[in-house]
Amino acid sequence: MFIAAAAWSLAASWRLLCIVMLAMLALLFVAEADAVAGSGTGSSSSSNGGLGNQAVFTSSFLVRFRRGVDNDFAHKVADKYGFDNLGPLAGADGHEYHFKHRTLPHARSRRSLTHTRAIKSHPSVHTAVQQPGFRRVKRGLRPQVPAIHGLHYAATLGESNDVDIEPTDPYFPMQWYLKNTGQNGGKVRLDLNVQAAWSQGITGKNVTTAIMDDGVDYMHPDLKFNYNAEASYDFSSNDPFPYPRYTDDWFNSHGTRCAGEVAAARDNGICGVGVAYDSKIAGIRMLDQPYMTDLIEANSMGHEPHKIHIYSASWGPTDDGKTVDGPRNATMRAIVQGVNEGRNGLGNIYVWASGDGGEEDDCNCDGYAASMWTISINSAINDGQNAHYDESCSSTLASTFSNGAKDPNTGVATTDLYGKCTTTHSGTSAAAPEAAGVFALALEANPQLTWRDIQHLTVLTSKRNSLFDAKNRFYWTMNGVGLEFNHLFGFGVLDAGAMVTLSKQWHSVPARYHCEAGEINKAQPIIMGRSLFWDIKTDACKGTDTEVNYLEHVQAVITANASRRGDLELFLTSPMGTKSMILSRRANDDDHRDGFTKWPFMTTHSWGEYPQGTWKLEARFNSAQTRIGHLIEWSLVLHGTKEAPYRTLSPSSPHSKLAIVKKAHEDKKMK
Amino acid sequence: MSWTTVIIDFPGICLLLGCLAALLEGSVGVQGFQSKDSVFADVLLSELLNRMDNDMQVGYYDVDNEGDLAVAAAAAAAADKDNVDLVSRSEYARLCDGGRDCVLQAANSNPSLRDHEFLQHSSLWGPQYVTGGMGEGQSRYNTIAKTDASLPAYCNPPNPCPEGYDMETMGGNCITDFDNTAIYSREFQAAQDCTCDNEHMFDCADQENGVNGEADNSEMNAAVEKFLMQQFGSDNNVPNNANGVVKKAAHMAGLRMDALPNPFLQVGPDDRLPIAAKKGNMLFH
Repeated sequence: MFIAAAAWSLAASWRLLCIVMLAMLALLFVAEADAVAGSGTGSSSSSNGGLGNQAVFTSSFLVRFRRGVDNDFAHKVADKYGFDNLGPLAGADGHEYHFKHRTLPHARSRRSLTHTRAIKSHPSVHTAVQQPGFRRVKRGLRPQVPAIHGLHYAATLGESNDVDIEPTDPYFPMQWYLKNTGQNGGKVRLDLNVQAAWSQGITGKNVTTAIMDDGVDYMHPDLKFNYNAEASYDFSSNDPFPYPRYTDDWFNSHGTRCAGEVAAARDNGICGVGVAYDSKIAGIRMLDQPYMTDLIEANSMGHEPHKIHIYSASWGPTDDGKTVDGPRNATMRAIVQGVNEGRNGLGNIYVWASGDGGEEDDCNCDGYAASMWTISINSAINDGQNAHYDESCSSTLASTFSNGAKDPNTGVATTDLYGKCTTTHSGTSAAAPEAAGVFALALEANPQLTWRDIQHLTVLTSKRNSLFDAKNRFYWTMNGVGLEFNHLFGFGVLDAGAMVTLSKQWHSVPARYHCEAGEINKAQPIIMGRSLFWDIKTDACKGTDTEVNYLEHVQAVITANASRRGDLELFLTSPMGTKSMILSRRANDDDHRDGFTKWPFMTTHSWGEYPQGTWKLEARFNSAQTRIGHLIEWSLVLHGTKEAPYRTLSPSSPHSKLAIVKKAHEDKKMK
Repeated sequence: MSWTTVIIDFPGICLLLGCLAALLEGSVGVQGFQSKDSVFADVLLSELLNRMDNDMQVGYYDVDNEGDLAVAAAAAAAADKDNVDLVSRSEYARLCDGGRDCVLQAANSNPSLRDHEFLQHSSLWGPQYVTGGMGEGQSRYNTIAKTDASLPAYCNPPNPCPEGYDMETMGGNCITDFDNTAIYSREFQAAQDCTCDNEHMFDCADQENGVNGEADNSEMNAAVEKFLMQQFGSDNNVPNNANGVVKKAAHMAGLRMDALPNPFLQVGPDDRLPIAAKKGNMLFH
């Protein structure tokens, strides 16, 4: 515990130091390498380059306000929390002030989180950063006393908030998904908002993300210090070293590219920077053999569930628009075990790429992406449109970014095989690891988050931003408790800053129950040109052990058949009127034999709603030709909580999604 | 259109045949998976049987009496002794009044303060079409559903020692003197006798040792046969290869797989699934 904390503060102090020591970058890189190696192996790292391994924090705080305030106001705020206001910073338009705590010791080796938190709890305060102390060495002179001083007021003049400095990695300017400045025709600020998370000192420390793929180039200089060898494995050749297999076309670069998006190191002059650049990646090589087996999939997803926090998968059933397939028996069991028991009982996070089948496919036909236990991630391009290859489905929870704009320089910049860099990583493959990185940040901010907390946080902090359907098919719609969703993007694009902030104050959601709400079992023909409606009226298991009052996932388990499966469309409407398209037309699916047998179509769109009332299932054919088919069986399964999930949380803003849903839940109780 | 009538009667037949299938299950050890492209597709009865056979084995909620969730919940709860019962858990939640430390206390004292998820998914049958991403179109492997026993593999990549990796404590045998280049890996793999990956190697002819005019997947078929032999222990039991690829003595000699076969590839018949490929490698125009 102590060693971990020491490594943490060492890494943190190092980044702060970096700001004023940019000239000594090369030297610092060595220090970082040391720090990371130290935390990885558990050994203590030695002092390096005279910077010292002793982090020192002063009683000085840099406080940034949300708006410009005058000195009197700052005085009052300072007074309220036991600080003295030493005055505004120059050039900050009244946004930034220097506070000094009255009772904190002049220098201490640990940050005082309680004091930082206290000052940050003021609604006007945006951030508060406790200032580290440095040694200042005059050039050519030997210091007489190794004095430790607080950062003097004058010393911060003209300097911006240290952690707000951008990474210096050469590919960072091309990583528009981290910071969109409008490069290559993108939309300014349409990005993952990672800087807001980094500014809070959250960079993914002590979190491991496994890349289940074709291996990882763990010798890559941008990845090697963030590689978790202990949690890695090679199932394709049965050894602990998931180094990728060589092919002439360098086909096996996929895992390395995904890994760089999560955890490429910062400020080392190599490639770009990962979303969670202090987190670890584990490689699980499992895609690289001629045939896949249930055994390999199951073992991969259940590999080291207590050392690995997040599993990222960018593969799945064929995206040919006619496949209906999912995890087999052993794999399904492994996922269930992962969410139930993994991460010492908190549950592993499985992140899934929703698929590249384009508009003619529906990821609800992909049993991996459609599972409640995976977080299915879709992608948007740099101006907010959906990518042309995006599949859509109601099980998608949120979106991140990938390539697809006309400008070829809008791919995803990341690490590449054999120590190289690339700017052209692509597809929803590239989107899933970005999400994994954001979740790694959330888990550092609050390591006690369960797998469900992560999904709740995703729903509450994802942003509509400027995402839109380029073809005007799917609009943003408000569900019954005021949450905006879009069939393409789920609840919107991930916002790392917002997620980290909310994670810090999060209280674990109440117990989850599974309610079988009703079942209809009567084969009924679906007539061309008419919709077949089935209703299930439910009290959502009221008064039983499995009572559900606030929804999370909803599953419609359906058996149906059609003379052309691809022309069948299914819609599920909740009692609060939220209509989810749980199966869209799939133009290429010409199946006429298999249909769907007890297939669990899942929707996230009713998140937070109350399930009591009448659920409506609509089945219809979307085809110019005559089709025949039957709806044979429908059972409705509701998953959610009995207690209001957010009752113990206090929203920071009355306009936040949390505040809106919470209010909806409270209003409901009044009735 | 005979399927319509069958479908309508499906639930009824289901009950009858379900029992039949259950009886048969003991004696019929091997599942008859079917290819979606199978020429036997029209044999409706056998297909139904197969499906129900599957249904029985891969039960919804993993409980034989599918459907009744309360029963499933009770069963699962009973099976899991560590599970706190539902009432006490919700009581606990109520006692925990939402103070800041509540989360930590709850998590520390009882890490599974929530309901367990149930295995719950559709029964799946037939070959698993887990490709995707690359190319996005036709599957790159013929989805052959012929009988085979176990699986071939490609060359093994080199295993460099990870940064900070301690050979003594971790006990692996990795390469310390490693050059992270394509050339190193290529040469490392070229020294092995293994299945040539003709999807991603420009020229597999070098490895064919002068065997010309073979079908593209001959290497693979040979590897499959090799494994069949391994599985059944004798040449006599090797089923005729439907693709009609001639078995070459040279191939068999050349196909020395690793001394220790990968246990993850030692699977039963019908478990061979086309490879899951990655999403998005070819999405740049």
